[in-house]
This record gives sequence, structure tokens and C-alpha cells, in this order.
Amino acid sequence: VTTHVTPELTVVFTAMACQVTLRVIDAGPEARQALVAARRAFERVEAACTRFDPGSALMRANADGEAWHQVPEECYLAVAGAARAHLETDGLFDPRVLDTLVALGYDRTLPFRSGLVRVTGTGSPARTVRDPWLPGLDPRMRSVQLGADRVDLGGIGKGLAVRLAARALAGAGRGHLIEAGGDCHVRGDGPDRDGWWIGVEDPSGGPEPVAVLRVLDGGCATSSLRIRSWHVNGRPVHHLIDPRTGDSAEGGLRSVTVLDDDPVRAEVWSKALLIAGRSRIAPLATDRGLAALWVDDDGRIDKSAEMASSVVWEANDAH
Amino acid sequence: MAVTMTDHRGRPRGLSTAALLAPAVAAAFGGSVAWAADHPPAAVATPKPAVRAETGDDTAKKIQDRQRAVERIRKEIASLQFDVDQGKGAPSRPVRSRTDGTSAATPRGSAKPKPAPDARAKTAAPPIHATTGAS
Repeated sequence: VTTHVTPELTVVFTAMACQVTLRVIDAGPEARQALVAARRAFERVEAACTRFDPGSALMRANADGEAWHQVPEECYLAVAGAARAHLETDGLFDPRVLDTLVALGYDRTLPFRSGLVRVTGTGSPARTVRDPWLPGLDPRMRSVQLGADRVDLGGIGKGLAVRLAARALAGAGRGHLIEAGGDCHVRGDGPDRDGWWIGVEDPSGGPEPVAVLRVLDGGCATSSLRIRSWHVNGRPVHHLIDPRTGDSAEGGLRSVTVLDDDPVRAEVWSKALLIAGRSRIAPLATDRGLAALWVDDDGRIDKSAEMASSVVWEANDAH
Repeated sequence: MAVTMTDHRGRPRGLSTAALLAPAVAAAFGGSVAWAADHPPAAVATPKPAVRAETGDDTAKKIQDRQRAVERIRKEIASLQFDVDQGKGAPSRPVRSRTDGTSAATPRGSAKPKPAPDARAKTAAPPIHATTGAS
């Protein structure tokens, strides 16, 4: 019996406002089919969870938050995941930031990569959220009730897409890499059989990474101020909203990278730790056993004990 | 007393030879040009480039090839930088490429610094497979 093995298959496409790369090494006979399924996972999550389409399942549920809405599985999973993340992070992760983002002028896709973006908006926080978010979830009917405040599922949606794509690629070959605009998932011991080497981008914009991580199986996510920052009415803001202030987080951190088996959890905690800020990140990461690496406003790089074993190279500091 | 300079006699002979040959050469050249002008070059069969629509697979392959090239160059730079940092003039071993085109491995212990969890590396960043950062 001869088994045909294709060395490598790579698919590149755009989804969720970023370039997505799916790579399978030592691809098996089912790899092409798995790649199609993985790509569809991104497309389904984007269609269900985008806030830029008033007809998406999320935006229909947002339009009447007190009513129950039957939604596609991807939207249900994202809402359920967000609710779990809200509890796990003691409210640091809070998806009820949509109206704040709109108030800050981020009510449409903005050309962040083409230079400094200047917009107008009310510029004021929509509201400061202090009560816990307890959305209604009915798994049997796959229905959700989001509540009074409109919800944004952008970040967790991407983590979910990576998770679903990883499942689709699980048996596709000797290993895989999913790279989706900062969120990654890898399986196997990599092309050179010594792991997947993932560079942590310099949040200041430098061309060299600030660290290189060696990952065998699992997810990786980074929350950073590098791209989605802009000026509203002349005031600098960014997309990571601190639910305690209802404004862009000002905790003294430029980026946080987290490794976790689950790409959704990596995404959630990278955001929550950045919002927690410089003074709280080290004890919080230690307390929760998180593998985290961060860069502060002064360009200093630090990491948790859980992360140390994964760091194979580290810059002296960020620029 | 009359003085004869032999030199003076030789030079006029040489000039007159050139003067005699020049019209003949010019006529021959002119004739060639005139003939060429009346005779277009024969058509030479050259293979036409194959034209076909670029498919998604082609695009993905191009991107993949470029990614490999970037990865290969990064590894080479890392290898060179490591050797420079080690005080060597040239790489200890050449960077090799894999036949399957996947990220080419640089020699262990040569291009890639050993993991040093708490030591800040003074070398250039090693080659990577992916990047995590802002989206």
C-alpha cells in the first residue's frame, strides 16, 4: 500500500479584517477537504458575529437586547464564550463595549493600516458598566438574550474561528499552523520537528520581534495597541476598552501575549491582562497560572513564570 | 647640395593606397546595406509563452514560495548574525534548504541560540514560522 503524502499545503485568504494563513505540513489525503472546512469556519463566524453588518445574527440580537433570538451556532458559541470569559476575568473582559466604540468614532471599518486615522464622534464613553453581564443562554433552542447594552464579539469571535478551524485541521497532516491577524494555533512539532517558532510583534512598530516563542500544541493571542489606535476629535484612543472607565484602557501596557490550549481563552486573557494594566498583570498572571508576556509603555518586556519555558529568544527591550 | 628624405617618399604611397581602397570598401558596404534593406529578415519560429488563467492554487503557491524565500533569508541572516556575534568570519556551516520547501532548518546550535528562558539574547531574532501581534 502506497500512501501519498503531500509535503505542505497552504491557504491564504482574508476574513475578519485580517489575512488568515492555514498551513498543513505532511498533508494527508483529507487535507484539502479539511482546509476548506477550516476556511468556512472563519466565514461562518464572521457572518454571524460581525458588528459591521446590521443583518448579522449578532446585530439583530443587539437591536432588541431584551428579546430572545435564535442564532447560528457560531454566534451562540461566541456569546456563551464571552459570558464565561466575563465571569472568569472578574469583569475585565466585557463585550458590552459596542456603544463606546461607536462613540469613539469606530462605527465602521477604519483604514488603520494606511496611517493615522482621525474621526469625529461624541468622544465620550457611552457608559461605565459596573453590573455583571448575565446574558440569557438557551442551548436547547440555541437562543440568546444579550441585555440592554449592545455587545461586540470581534476579538472573541476571531478566537472562536481559530478554535473551530483547528478542530477542522486536526487530522489533516502531521501538524498545522493557523495564523489570523495576531491569533495563532499550532499542532504538532513543526516543520523542523522542534516546535513552531512564533515571533511576538514589536508593539512600537519595529520590524523585529520582541520575543520568539516555541509552541508545540495550542493557541497564542496578542492584544496590542499597535494597529487599532486612532484620534477622535483630536484625542488619541484605541479599541481595547476598559469596562471600569468606559474608555480606552490606560494601564501602561502596549501589548500582552498569552499562550493557552484554547485560542479563545488566549484571546480573552490577552485582552483582560492588558486592561488590568502594568501594576496588576504580574500577580494576576501568576494567580491564574497564565503564560503571558507583555511590553509596557516604556518598552520593557516581562513575562510570567508559566511563559518562561516557551521563550527561546527575547530582545533587550522594545523600541 | 640637395638632400633627399626617404621618408617623404614612403608616406604619399601609403596614403594613395588607402585612397584607392576606400571607395571599393564603401561601395561594398553600401551594397550590403541596400541588399539588406530590400530583404526583410526571415521569420524565426520562437516558442510562444503558455498563457492560462491564474487559479487560486497558483496564488497560494506563489505566496507559499515567497514565504519560504522570506524564511530562508531570515534563517541565513540569523546564521550570519550568530557567527558575527561569535567572532567568526563566515558561517560555520551553510544554510541548507529542504527539498520539500518547508522552512529550511539552520544547523542546530549554530544559527539558533539555545533556549535561555531568563537570559536576554544579544543575537538577532531566530527564524520564525508565524507572528502574533496586533490585528
